[in-house]
Amino acid sequence: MNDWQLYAAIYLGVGFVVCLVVVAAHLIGRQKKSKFVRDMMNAVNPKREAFLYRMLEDLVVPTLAFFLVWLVWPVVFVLKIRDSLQKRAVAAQAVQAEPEAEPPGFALNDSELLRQVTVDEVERTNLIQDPLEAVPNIPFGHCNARWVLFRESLQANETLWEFESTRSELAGVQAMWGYAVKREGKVDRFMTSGWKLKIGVFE
Amino acid sequence: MTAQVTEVLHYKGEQLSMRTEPLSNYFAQMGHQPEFQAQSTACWRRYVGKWEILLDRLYLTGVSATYADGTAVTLDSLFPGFEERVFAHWYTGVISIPQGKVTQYVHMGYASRYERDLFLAVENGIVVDTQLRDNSHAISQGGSDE
Repeated sequence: MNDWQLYAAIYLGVGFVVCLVVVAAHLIGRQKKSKFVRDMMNAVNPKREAFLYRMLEDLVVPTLAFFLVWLVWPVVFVLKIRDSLQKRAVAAQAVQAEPEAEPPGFALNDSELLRQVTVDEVERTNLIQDPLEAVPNIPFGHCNARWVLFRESLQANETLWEFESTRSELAGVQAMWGYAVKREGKVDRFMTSGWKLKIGVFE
Repeated sequence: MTAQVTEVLHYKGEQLSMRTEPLSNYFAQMGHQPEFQAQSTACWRRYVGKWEILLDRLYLTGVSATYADGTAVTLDSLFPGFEERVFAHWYTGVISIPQGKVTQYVHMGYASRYERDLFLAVENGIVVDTQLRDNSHAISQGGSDE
């Protein structure tokens, strides 16, 4: 066996071991997260459930990948390092989305308040209708919890007002409406319950 | 940022991709997003919603995701009492639906370009307008149609 053959044998031998490690890691990882990934990918492309697709994904591609990794295994190390760096970045940025119900800095003017209302009146007039009954028969439907918080925040020295505004924190909105709480003569906070889009919103 | 998996929309008998995330609007309005497992850089929002437009109304019909404790997310767990569909009355905005072939792949968000874009204007969960945009003119001019 000459030097060239010896180096090739070492290279392929190490490559084979790397392949086995990659396959083991893939199988373990697949067991851990297959449900989410499978559900997600199936939701996007139902053809994935077909036999031919499964054969391709479960047998043909892994086999080809195995031989490819065997031949160019050093690339696997580079990709693994890049992957782990990306995962760290994801973890760092994956902050739970808990934005403000209404963004800070957007305030209503007194002129946008229409009239003072009572809690009973608001709850009576904000039942959401749906022909397929896909919304609960409670004030503000699926957003009821938000209303309940808003309602429970009302203090004795505060009043509830209906508002309509032609300004909005959302792009492309012509008007929005909802309810505001007035305290010491000023709007203290508000809850938007509906929006109207601008005409020509596509442009 | 990796190209993102789109939401799924059933509309007029077809399954379409949807580059708009009304469920994220819901979580934002409610001030809380349940803790879902992060599994892929192709899905930063950690879920895929399935939607349907029926009677000109936008409905959420399913969610593919996993809670942090490993249990599967169901529609009923997010909207108790509603296992099959949820009327998305909280959503106002423009739904973007790419159509045709990819004319320019962009490895970021929903930035890839397609032959056409279908837009649906939705007010409080109800579709009020639609528009189909042909991007071929913009492509022949070298790109931007914004």
